[in-house]
Amino acid sequence: MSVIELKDVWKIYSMEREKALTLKEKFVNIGKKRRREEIIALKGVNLNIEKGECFGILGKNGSGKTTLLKIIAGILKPNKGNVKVEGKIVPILTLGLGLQRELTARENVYLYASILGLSKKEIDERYEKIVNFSELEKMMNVKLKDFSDGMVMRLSFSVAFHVDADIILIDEVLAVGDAAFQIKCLEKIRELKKEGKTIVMVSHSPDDIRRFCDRALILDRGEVIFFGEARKVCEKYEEMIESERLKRWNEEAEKENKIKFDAFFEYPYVLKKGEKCKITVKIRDVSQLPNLFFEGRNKVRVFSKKVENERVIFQTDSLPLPEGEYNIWIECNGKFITKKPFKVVVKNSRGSNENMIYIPLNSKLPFDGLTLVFGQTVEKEYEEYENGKTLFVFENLENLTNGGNACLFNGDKIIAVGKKEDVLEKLKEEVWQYLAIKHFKDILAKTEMGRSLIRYEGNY
Amino acid sequence: MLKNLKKIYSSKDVILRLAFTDLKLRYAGSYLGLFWSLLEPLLIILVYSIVFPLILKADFFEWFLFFICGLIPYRYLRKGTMEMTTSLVDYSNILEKSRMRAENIIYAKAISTLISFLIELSIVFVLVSLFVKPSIFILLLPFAIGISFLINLGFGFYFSVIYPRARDINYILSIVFEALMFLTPIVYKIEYIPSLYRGIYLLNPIARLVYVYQTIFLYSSPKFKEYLSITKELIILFLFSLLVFIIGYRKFEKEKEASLELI
Repeated sequence: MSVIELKDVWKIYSMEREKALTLKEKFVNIGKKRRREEIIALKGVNLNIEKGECFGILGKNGSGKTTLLKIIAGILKPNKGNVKVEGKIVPILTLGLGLQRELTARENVYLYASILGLSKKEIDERYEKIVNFSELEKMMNVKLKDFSDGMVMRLSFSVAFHVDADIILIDEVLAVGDAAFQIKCLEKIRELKKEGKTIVMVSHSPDDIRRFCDRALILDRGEVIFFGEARKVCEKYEEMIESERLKRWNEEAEKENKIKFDAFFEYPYVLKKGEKCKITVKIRDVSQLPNLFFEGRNKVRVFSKKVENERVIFQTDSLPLPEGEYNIWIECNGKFITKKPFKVVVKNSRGSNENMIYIPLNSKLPFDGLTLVFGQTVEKEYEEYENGKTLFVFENLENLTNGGNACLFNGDKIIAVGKKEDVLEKLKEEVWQYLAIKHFKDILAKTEMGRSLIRYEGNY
Repeated sequence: MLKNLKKIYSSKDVILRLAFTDLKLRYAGSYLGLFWSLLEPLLIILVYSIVFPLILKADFFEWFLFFICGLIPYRYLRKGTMEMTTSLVDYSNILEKSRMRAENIIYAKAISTLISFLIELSIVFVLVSLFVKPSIFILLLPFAIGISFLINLGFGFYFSVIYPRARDINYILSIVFEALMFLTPIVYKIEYIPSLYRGIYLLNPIARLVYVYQTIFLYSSPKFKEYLSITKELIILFLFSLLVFIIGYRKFEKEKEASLELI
């Protein structure tokens, strides 16, 4: 049963274009019609969203995402076409709509909730829950102006997500608060989804969409250019973004052929996993040092740069390249200067890897995929298969030593939240516990892989 | 109409909440809060009360009482209309991003200005009753307030949809209200108008409204003839206010969507 149905929806904004006029010209132009420019925000959008579905809308800035959401919400009326919505609908287009700095948190909760369409009775019922969720129990009688931005966000999030609606529209409001609260919010969205609420989510980050949505679409200049299963749509979107970026950079590089570079590898093209990659670039007439970009399945960021006799030596900084094929581009002054990328293949050879956790698990284990979230980055597990076993590999664990909070997911469930060290400890525990039960320990002890089960230990 | 009333009832909570917020913000951050909003008209009244009796050679107290009875209702009309006129733009952030109906903002403003007015009016009542024994006419006060409220709402609805398109309306309104003050019997008594022109003068319903307030407060021992005349005035004013409200509301309904796209 579809709860949201859009048929050939068009939306045209008419924008006032004001030329800079002198006073005299203005007087002359009085009475004349002002020039209006028409911008087509949506071009015949068709859409069906089922009940209980989480639907994602992807697109670049200005592609009409928010307009589409506003039309579904009924805030805007389409110029042409039909919109049919069944059930109570709550749009969360910004967090903290109409909040007043001069009022107390308690009054703001009531204000915001009533703007979202709750009656006083309904707010009274939910008030406890809202406050508990926000973890601001002691602050409710404090004026909002004394709150930090993060706290305001937390409060508004709590209110927004306790509105009991059948359909919830969310516009890029997920990236707020600290890691721990973010996780709580994500949990809440999952909960809402389980309760059978329909969620429509707008984002320009495919990660969020992949995480929650069943289906999605890509909007480009007001048109739906791709529609389907969320995973596929996200892949397509990432592809689009990537190809666009490369195209732009290549064009720029073609335009400016002035910079002369020589680059070569000191190591062979095929690297063993864990081996450090060394690339040397000769420089002439360059004002800025060049950078390397890695194109591949895994993002590689950390590099050391050394300048010796007109040469820049790049080295993967104690961080081995994860397995896979890489295209390496050289960039200078914001432009790509290599027409073709260097290819490097990193081959599977385990043993000398530092700063990684290998968790050997067989397919019967209760792990549906581990995800480690810390700070702003999300370090997803990446799976490998070897001898019929699934291996969960976490890269870049060294980054975790910087302190801060982390969270470990097992599929949808949170296993551990807290300080990074604690979370890692918990991760170890989980794994060992399980291994013990499965009598894997002995088998593991025989292999080198097993002994280096949690190699990062040495770093603490 | 019944449907509209139902809609208002269903969104009464958000209207009251917005009105409460508006009132609270008006006085937030100041120690004496409400007092300042009263001080301003009182000061104006004081200045006028010293200057005008000198010119008009009238008794100070009598003139003072007469003056506040006219000025406070007039100020309410002006302030309410002006605030409602700009309200859609003032609350544009909410209107753009939530499903709340634009009417709610107007109603909320109407209620918050009404409450300010009631507070001011109660002070007027206390001041007046110190010098003049209140008559049975005081029972008519709620009707007069209701009429003021309706006129305010009508004006508010009408001008609020014009304002996003032409912001000049705000300046025009303030000038008109300033001028209109001298076409209503606030600084002078209605008797000063020669009876020949009084018919034309009373075509201005605002003048009648102000006159009704003055009558309600200041007639200590009304006669039968005055009962008749005030009833007549109230009926005329009620019809007028209803007309203003309906015209304003119609205009609002018709142009609401177009205006909301402009804010």
